Amino acid sequence: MTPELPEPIAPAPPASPLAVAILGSGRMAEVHAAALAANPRFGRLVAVHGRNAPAAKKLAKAHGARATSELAEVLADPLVQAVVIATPTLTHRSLVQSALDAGKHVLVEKPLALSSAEAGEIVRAAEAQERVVMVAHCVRWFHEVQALLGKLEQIGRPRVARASRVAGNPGGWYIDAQQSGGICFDLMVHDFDLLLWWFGAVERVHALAASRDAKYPEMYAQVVLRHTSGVLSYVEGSWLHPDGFATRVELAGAEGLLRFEMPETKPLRFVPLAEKKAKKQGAEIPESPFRRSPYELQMEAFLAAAICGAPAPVSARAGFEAVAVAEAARASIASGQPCRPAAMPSSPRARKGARS
Amino acid sequence: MTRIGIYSSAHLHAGAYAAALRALPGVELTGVYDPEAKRGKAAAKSLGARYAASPEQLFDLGLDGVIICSENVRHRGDAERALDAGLGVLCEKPLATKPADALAMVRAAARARRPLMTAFPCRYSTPLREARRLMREGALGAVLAAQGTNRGTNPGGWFVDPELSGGGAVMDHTVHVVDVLRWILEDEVASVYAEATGASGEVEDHGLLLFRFEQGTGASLDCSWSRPGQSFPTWGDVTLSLIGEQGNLHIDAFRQHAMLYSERAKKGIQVDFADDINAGLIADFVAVLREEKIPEVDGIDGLRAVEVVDAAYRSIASARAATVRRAALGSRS
Repeated sequence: MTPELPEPIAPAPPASPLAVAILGSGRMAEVHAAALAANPRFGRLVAVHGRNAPAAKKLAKAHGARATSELAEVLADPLVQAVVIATPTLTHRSLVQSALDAGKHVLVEKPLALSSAEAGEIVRAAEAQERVVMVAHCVRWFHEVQALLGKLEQIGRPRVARASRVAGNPGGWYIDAQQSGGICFDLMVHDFDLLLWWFGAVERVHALAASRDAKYPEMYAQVVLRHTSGVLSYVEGSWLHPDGFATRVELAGAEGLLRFEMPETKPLRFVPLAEKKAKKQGAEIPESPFRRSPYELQMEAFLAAAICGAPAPVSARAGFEAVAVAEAARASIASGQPCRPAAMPSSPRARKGARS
Repeated sequence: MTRIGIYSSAHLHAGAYAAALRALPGVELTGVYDPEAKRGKAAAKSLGARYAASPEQLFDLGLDGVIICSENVRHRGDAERALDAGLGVLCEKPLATKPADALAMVRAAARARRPLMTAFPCRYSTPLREARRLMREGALGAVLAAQGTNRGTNPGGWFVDPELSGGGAVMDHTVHVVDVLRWILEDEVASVYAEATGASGEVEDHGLLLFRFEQGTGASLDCSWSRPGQSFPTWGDVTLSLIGEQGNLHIDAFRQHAMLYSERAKKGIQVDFADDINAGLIADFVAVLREEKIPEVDGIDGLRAVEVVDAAYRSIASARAATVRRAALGSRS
């Protein structure tokens, strides 16, 4: 099983770019708005819906779009063809359902949902519609990940993989497990997605967690995955690293080893004499300069799929699988025993086929 | 359709340029000329273009421009022929081996009113462009000192034949970092002190250079072919550290890489994921031929770098710092 590089899709630009609304006005909403602005031939931002009215207004104004606090108004607008859901995870299921009911294409932030049951409902809703539902597992579009993918065959049969993703405390709703699912769902789901993409389904998950604060017991986790293919994976996730964001991936096979390290591969390091005291708020976004950012490439892939009627490059099913592994990891942290990820819901189309 | 020819395939970069041409819409690599018929026919076949047996045959293919990848000492004659035939030219670096030749090329381009670009792909490096942006924003203040490296492996072949290359590592690798420094500092090199040593053949393998810029910045460059050819994980590097009044900036232009340790290759191999600098250079050349923009880097930039190389060789010969002799030119128009 070799994962394939996503084909570069270059559809003829549509007569007018796809009109997109963003639901949410936080950090990721800003990132998606910038990614849209970088793809002017394929999409344009027309509306921002957010509970935080000043933030929504500010984001909308910066991109020449309208701000609204009425979700129904955005979804009822026949000119809006696609929505980007960049809201807290808790709200994803109902927003995806409402957007699909209104006939919109959907790009939904990761993790897809807070439980496999909810994620399964999204998969079913997505597969009952002829619309693109794509999960924003942005790390797939990171240049370092694409570089590894291009050489994966050269390590021979894959045996063991290690992925590490560490950062400082993001604070806010991110660390509230009730809202975010905690570190397994919010941060490590990136690596679960990569490992599932590369090495296939996971049959067993065992995990340990740690924290400096009893109020938030899952600020650090180590997870061991056993893939059905026999590959073993180790994933470390941390919000206990105040020295800043780092991510490292190592894939060992029978004939070689592949690895990348961030920030070691950042090509620029600026050390100003006067230390800026301003502390960054919210989730950290790793930056290494490229002509096109991973978010821009992800947005292009989403818009291109919606325009061409092609399948989503990262489907709701892929989103489900990553959620199921995160859920199994949390269950294992609680029980101290290995857990099996929930099984994928069967496709409504497949069921239909079985009946006839 | 923009039609481009490759004029000689002596330099290894011809393959990378051809790949970049193929990736651009509305561009055709129409023909390949090489005075060595066997090498030229093989290159034309592998690059998917027609072989031209003479420069005239190449020019008769209805080209907009040529990329000159001949041996260093041949650049002047080749560029003059193409410019006189009314073609735009992208010339491999160094633009020439002597300042007089580089100056003649710049004048030939002005006479022909055709673009002459020097192949300095570092100008299209996203990290180096970011460094220039920070510099122009004033993030560093004045630069007090700069440290650069452009180390590589000994390319062998005509590169180590002074009759064709004009020199070794100092000729081959000085110009890139000199150009990057001129571009980022927006200043010219005033004087050069250079040491060189030859480990094999008739040309130097290793060179260490110290520059003084007009505005006072002191800079160093290691331009050596010091990377082992068999076991080193990549071709070499371009790094730059700038010590500024307001802070320091460290750039490693090819830091954006993963590593593959291969049992088959019996070594570690650098897997680059940086933006492709050759693709940026070629896209710029095509845009210039289409008269959509002026070039990011032109013949005068190539001339200025050659004048620094000339001072370096005078310094090596005299064991004293040498003043850079800059030709007086009218303003760029």
